[in-house]
Amino acid sequence: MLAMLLQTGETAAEVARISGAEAFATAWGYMMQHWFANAGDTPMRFFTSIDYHQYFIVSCFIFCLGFYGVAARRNAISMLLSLELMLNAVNINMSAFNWYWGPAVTRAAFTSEEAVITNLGQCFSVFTIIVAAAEAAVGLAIIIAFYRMRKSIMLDDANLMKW
Amino acid sequence: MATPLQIFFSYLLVAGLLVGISSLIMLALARFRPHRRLLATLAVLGFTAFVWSMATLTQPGYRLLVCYFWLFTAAVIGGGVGCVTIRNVFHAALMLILSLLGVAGYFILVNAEFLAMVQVIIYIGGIMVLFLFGIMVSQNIIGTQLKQNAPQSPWAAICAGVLFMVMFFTGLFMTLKPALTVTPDVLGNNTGSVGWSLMATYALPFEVASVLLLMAMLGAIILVRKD
Repeated sequence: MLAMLLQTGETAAEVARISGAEAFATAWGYMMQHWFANAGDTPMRFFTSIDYHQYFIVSCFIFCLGFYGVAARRNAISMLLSLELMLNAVNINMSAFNWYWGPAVTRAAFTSEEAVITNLGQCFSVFTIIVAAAEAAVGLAIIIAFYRMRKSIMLDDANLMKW
Repeated sequence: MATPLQIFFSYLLVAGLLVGISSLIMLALARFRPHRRLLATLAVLGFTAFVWSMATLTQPGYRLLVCYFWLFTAAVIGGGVGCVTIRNVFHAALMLILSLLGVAGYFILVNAEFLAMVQVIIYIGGIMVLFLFGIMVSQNIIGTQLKQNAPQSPWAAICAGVLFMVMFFTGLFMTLKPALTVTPDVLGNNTGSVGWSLMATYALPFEVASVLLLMAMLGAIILVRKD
């Protein structure tokens, strides 16, 4: 990617003449070219077929939504809900990659048989769900204890260790 | 091959799911003006219908799979956006349940039926109901018209956007070696294989996880106990 960006001009003088918008457009063009060459023949193929790209990007979006919720909300229960969103993004990713590479990974790593399927990703998702259950129980208990102490569940009031 | 009747009924099923999702989106946008609400719902429906028709036209082999994928994506993303934007915490939890249902659909699409059932029974039926009870217990202290976003929410949005752009381009240009093609008869019994793995290969992590759950239960009881 960096090499592609550096190829936009032959000499240093030409590079200096490119404006910011032109450089962005060139970089975007190279990115799209790369995508067409490697990830599909048309942009619509992203919407008309399923492989790991779609699951990965959707789970990225969900993870960033959860990050936004954890960072921006001031209610403790809302923060826990956003945390569940992030955990589910991880679960999507693990099961999707297990679906796509479970057979190949197993054949490469452990055995010479043709069609042996590992379910390591699914087992790890089960453990993630277990940890999410523990986190929900302890988190709600902490929120209730905090409410008994400070009569509030707003995290702005949790400032005893601020300074 | 699916018969025309089966295709017709699956279209009917998807139409019903779309109506449900759009009504939930309208509920999520309830604080906007009615015509804006209708416009947003129509936009989401139009986008989904466009993707649906594209998938149907160009990929006859697994068109239903692709269409279900985008339907579940609408549920997951709509529920997630609702979960982090709605002020009423109870409605936010309901939106999170919609998102988790979409994730259960993903699990079915990726041949993880056991995980889908665990998602519905334990995640939605256990954890989310625990959350809903916690919200209802503290409903009088939350309030529905409370301002939910902290002053740093624009900065949080910028950070999340940058993080998403980094991961988005990583995912877009991720070209890894192709997988083996697996026929469904090789897959066998998913629940049985996961159970075998949990009880034989990953028995020690499984026991550690059960101890963790026990510790969480004891800790929760001790934390909320009145002295």
